[in-house]
Amino acid sequence: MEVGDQSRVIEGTARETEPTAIAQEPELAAHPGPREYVMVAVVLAIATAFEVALYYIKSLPHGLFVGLLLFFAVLKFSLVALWFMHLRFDSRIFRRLFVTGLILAITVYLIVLVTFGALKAPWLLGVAAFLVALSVAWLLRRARTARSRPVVVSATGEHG
Amino acid sequence: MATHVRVVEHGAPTSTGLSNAKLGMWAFLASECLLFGALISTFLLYRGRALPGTPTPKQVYDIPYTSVSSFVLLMSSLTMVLALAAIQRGDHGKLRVWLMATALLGMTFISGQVYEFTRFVQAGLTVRTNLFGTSFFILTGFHGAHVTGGILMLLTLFGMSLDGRLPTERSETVELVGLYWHFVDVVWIVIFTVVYLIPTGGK
Repeated sequence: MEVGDQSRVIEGTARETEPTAIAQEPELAAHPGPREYVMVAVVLAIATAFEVALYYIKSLPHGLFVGLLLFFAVLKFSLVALWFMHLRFDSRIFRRLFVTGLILAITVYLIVLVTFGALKAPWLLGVAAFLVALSVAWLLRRARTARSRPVVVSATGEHG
Repeated sequence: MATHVRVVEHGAPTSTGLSNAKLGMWAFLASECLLFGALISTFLLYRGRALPGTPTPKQVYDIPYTSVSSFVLLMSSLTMVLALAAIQRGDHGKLRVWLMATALLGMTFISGQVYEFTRFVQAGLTVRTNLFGTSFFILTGFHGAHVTGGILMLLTLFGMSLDGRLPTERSETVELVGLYWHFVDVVWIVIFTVVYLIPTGGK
């Protein structure tokens, strides 16, 4: 097989900036344009305005107040990470790397906060356990998939 | 022996086909989640620990002021991503405009934080006053140091662009700084909600 042919069958995740990579890995997509970025920023600004407005509604029950604020925080966090940081468009390896760190941090510190009594909700330990179980299940699934994947010869034979 | 190697058109071949620099940046950001997670958790553990007669969050926070600061930092993420879009399409004039806009918004945020700290100290809250003060100043101070580092990177990119050392082929350098900048922004999104709004708002 010619070197040029070999390079077309090489497996792995394609570089997200290569136009051909989009065809090789269906989940990859081109980065959005300025118009879409501005629209995301408008949503972020509106979400912030809602957060500040909620702060001044003193009649809201505390649980609802905290729940709504956390919802807006998660919404804003996700919008910035998915659109501005391009996690929605780039390789899933980046997404998984970041989400692993995030889940690890949330799990560890939920356990710490519940253990030391800063959060008076033992069910949060259940949430933490669920996050750990989810992460472990995902890692095991990835390991099985990696073992069953066929080995393909590279074009250059070099290690990166 | 067969290897998993992809040929990357620009840059050295890597076993994943991905840029090592970008992969490294994402690994760094993942580890930063743990750093800020520790600082935020410490704040949550100590926020109610104010000695009698010392300032509490409700007494010192100025929510309208911090809301404006948060909005400024949020909008700096927009200008940052517009800078990246500009260099990716080869528009170096716009790149410089958006990089400088991002740096200026970052400086506005930091100036606001310095002013806020000064007001807290005048109100009698220092890093040694109580556990709330200690955990608050360390958390927001660490974040401020990250923003300051980001501003220095942005100004370096601006200088490199003026010098002609930031061609379109090196757009990944802007992307890496952008990832760092956006991360600093998402951390503030969490801090604004968990440190400022939740402890002092609601019924």
